[in-house]
Amino acid sequence: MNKEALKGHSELIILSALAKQPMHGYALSEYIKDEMAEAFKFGVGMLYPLLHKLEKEKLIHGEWQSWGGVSGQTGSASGGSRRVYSLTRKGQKTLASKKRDWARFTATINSFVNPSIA
Amino acid sequence: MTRDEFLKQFEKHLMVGEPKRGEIIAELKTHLDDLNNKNPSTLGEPKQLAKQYNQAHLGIFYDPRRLLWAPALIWLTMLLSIFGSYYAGFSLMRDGETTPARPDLTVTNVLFTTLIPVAAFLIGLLIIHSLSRFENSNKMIWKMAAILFGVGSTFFFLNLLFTGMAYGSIFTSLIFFIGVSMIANVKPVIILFILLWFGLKLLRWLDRYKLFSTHS
Repeated sequence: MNKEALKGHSELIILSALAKQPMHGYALSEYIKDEMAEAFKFGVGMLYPLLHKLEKEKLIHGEWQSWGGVSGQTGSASGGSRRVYSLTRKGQKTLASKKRDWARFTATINSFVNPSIA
Repeated sequence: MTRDEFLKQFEKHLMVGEPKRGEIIAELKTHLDDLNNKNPSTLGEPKQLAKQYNQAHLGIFYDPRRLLWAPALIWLTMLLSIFGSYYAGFSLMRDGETTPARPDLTVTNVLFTTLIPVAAFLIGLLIIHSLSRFENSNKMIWKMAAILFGVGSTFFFLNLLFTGMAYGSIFTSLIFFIGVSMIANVKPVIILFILLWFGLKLLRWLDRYKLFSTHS
């Protein structure tokens, strides 16, 4: 998939990932990379400032927690304290709204490029 | 580039103040640890990364150079106002006055009054830029102070332009600056104060232009 096609939807992707489970930055980048089969690879230069922006907007909440690298979960190789992000109530509402927008957007594009399916 | 070199470069360009600054660096360190000695340049250029953080936390203040258009605009507006009002030929004479009460447009006066707001604005930016690198949990106060500094000096300029009294202008501007600073946390009061101030000024100017007389 062309990365350009996903530009502008980074917030939706991050919020969706954090809706599944709270994660720290590195785990989040690995999770997104695994789930999206590297179709949309976040550079940390984009991911962390975006996390901070979302936190400032109170859509997510970051908290330092001890992190031992939960078994089976993508994430840190080492233990220690990590800043773990989770979705806030406001973030949940925003995510729901962004999901609706995305569904409308894809439906519109689908109906345009594949009129027989729509 | 080694991990330490990367962090050193990053910290050099990070403008965010404490306590957030410490958190950002600590978080980045944990990420670098998680990379397990992989080349940290996979994170991009440290300067670029710091810039992204600055943008996320400082908003329009992340790069003072981006705000340079503002004093330039203020300066241009003021210059146009001075020469516009002068050449429009408005007579500010009162009955019995023999000389027009036009602004005293000497080169010194014009340069002095137009450069003060710009200098004040730049000083304000410099303060913000410097303080953002040091411990300062409430940067909003300084941003507000810088804005008020600019507004106060603008009033100084307007007063000097329309009254020609330098000391009186400095005094009223200082009163304005101190007064508004004291109520800086109450936005509606500031707006009301500014509106009231301009309202009174407008009445005075209208009176002087004889477009509206407050005298019976």
